[in-house]
Amino acid sequence: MSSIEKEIENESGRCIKCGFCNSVCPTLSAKDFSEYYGARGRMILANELIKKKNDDFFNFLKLSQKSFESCLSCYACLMECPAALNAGHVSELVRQLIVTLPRNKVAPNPISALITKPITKYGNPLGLRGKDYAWTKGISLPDKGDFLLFTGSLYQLMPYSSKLVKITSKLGEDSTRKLATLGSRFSSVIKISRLLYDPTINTRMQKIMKDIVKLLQISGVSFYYDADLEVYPGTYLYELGFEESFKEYAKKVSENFRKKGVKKIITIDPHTYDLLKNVYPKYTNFEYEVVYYLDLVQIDFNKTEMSATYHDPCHLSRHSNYFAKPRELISLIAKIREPTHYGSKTMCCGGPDELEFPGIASKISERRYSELKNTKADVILTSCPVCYVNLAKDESVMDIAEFLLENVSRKPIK
Amino acid sequence: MRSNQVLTEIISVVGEKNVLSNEVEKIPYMYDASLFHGELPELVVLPATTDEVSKVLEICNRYKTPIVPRGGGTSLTGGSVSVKNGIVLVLSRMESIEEISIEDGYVLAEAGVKLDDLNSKLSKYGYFFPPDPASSIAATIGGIISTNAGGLRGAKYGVVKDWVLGIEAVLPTGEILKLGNKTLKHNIGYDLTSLIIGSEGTLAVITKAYLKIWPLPEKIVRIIAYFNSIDKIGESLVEIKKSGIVPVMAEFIDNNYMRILRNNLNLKAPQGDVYAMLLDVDGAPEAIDRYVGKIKEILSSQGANEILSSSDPAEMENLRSVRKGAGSVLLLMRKKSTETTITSDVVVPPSQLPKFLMELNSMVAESGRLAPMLGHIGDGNIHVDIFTDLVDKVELEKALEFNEKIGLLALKYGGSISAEHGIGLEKKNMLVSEYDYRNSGKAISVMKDIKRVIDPNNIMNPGKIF
Repeated sequence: MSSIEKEIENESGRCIKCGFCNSVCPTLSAKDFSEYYGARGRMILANELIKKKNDDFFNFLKLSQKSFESCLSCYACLMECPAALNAGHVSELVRQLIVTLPRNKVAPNPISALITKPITKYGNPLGLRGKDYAWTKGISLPDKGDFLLFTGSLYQLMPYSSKLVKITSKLGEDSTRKLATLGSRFSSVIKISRLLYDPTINTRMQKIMKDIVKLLQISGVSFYYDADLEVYPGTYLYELGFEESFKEYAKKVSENFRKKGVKKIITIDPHTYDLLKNVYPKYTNFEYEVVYYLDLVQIDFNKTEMSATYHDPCHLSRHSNYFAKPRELISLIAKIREPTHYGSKTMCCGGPDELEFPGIASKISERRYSELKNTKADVILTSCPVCYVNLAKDESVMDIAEFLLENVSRKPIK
Repeated sequence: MRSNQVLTEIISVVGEKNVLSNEVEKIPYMYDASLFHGELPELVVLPATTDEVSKVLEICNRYKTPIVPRGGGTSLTGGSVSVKNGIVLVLSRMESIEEISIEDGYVLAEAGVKLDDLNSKLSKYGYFFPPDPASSIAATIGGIISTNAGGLRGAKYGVVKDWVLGIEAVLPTGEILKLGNKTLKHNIGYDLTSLIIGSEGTLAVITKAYLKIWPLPEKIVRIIAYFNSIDKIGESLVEIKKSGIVPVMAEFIDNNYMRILRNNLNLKAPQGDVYAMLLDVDGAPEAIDRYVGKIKEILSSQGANEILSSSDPAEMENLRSVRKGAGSVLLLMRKKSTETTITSDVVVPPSQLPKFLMELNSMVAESGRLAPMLGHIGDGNIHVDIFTDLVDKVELEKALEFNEKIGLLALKYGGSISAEHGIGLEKKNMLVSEYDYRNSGKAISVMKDIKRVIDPNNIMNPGKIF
């Protein structure tokens, strides 16, 4: 039994199937309560899988694969499990296991394969070039400072991924998988994504990133930007289970930082923050100080009569125990109205499923959006580009950086 | 062939996506929170309305296909797994709270509403539905009525049957009955509502319920006291009861449980071999300090070596979640992966607790078994979690026998073999023992007669209770 299989057995074998996890699993209700798509169902299926041998094992894995692939890794289940078991992590382990097995027996979701191959080949999941997502046009960024500003490319990828989601949603799950299977054989085909992007989202993402820079500048933070270090950190490789590829890739990224003398890193999105802070140290000699940009914001804001609700991104709140600072800053400007699920008990926006399971992602984002609207707050804020794109169903949804900058008590530096 | 026809007809009622027929999709429904491993159901069906439930039942009855109603799948006695193949009918999609009437003191909720969701909604009106099984985060209204669940607040507020005014239930024929009413009083012939409550899905499928609601207490104080031995726990409770104070909750946790809770659920308790008593007292702010003072005085006089109290919501929630999550952390104590627990669920009159707990403790010690215990001692309800090995059939049999022995001990002290978890698959023999003990074996044949009248084809959750 491999170490991954042992870990699956240990985690799923301790589950008493009390079902507490199901009560908060977003994919369960999004799939009309079929337990195949629920946290307890995943624990049960993982435990059944690990008991099987030879062809029975592979056949069962193929049949249960979608259960694990549809897990958002939001870890809401972990928060409710009294035995501190994590169905999200079990799903990650099964995804990792699939990647290690012979392709003629079981293969990863073709969409995963399609977007992960280009990462190792082009340093980007969509085969984009630097100029495809140049966001620094029109602003001047320092080339010296204490902190490296590392974007992790997530904001830049959103215009392209949201366009792809629109296309795959129209095609349907089966046709998308067939096309992806074909496409994954020719990784260069992904470069067609360069031509497909949502210009409105592109403009908005670039504005948000520039707003973040302005917040840092007003706060007097000593930071610099190095376009050569601005690579994709391998987030998808890790999240989709390509552990070995991720390990190699992360080592290269980490080594690049070392060569360039990086000491401290500012991240601007929850996925990159979680990856660099919590995951990189497990796989590489990563000894850099990683901070989330909000921690460095020190500005006088205008107190208003507004009310605001804040959507905690899973990778920031549950994965990184980070939920106080955004509230501290927002409360300097507006009255906070918490939704039903917040802080460590936040609810996922559905984003991680948007490419592979768009139907599930869309139902979850609708539900979360309704919950946030029910607070009747004037603005809905978040600090994750994935959450933003999934929840931006009206103009009241903003990135926290935009909101903060709009309410700075003195004019930002031009 | 029967299967194919049933499948086609059921799909025409609920739609293809709400019928699970692939093996791997059905496997999760072979399990609930009990140690029982059910059979793979023929189908799993997820209706959205009472009308759909009615049509599905009519089809099943016509084809004599067994049907297992299921809510959150939190049964501790195997009540929600299939043992006769057939269909598992999952009510989770029926999750709407249709009406809340503060003036008339009731809520109308569909069967799939989760208990914590109901209370979250009611709290906005300053009200609550008091019964609170430890699984309230996942347990559904239909499920808690079917098992007549109890919970932590039973000491003051009783069990589910005390809070159900009326139900909508679907008979195996598909006929929809509205039993009881939304009014607090109604004498309308035989009390069929009470007959369905606790019948574990063997008579009808509950689709909606009128539930009585109650104003939230003005103030609650949570007290935790630690003792060095079990003998004073029961005495403490008896003395509190004699004082005229009715705690909302009075929980007992033994030394074995304390070890695992201290290590895994962030419970700051004194080191060593300690037993804990957890109490909630509610009331008007002007009076509550007096109640708390009196209880502390009693606990102290009974030898509690540490007594803490709090009305801070975060601290109170931490203590409550420790108790509520206790059952789920149990398996961290096991020595190998095939070990599991049988959860005994006995009840005795609270006045008998001092002697009963002492004898139970000796019985567990003599058996040499790992069998941690806790319970809602405010109403005399004790749970013993008996460790056993699912793979070792001889050992499993012995553990089940030990469970029955605990049941017999409860009978000796004037109690019952089942308090709040139901009979399910686990306590069928013990049910017979209890009625035989009271020379009332006829009661079971009366129950079977009732079952035959309502469900002549025996399609409703067959193999459970009897």
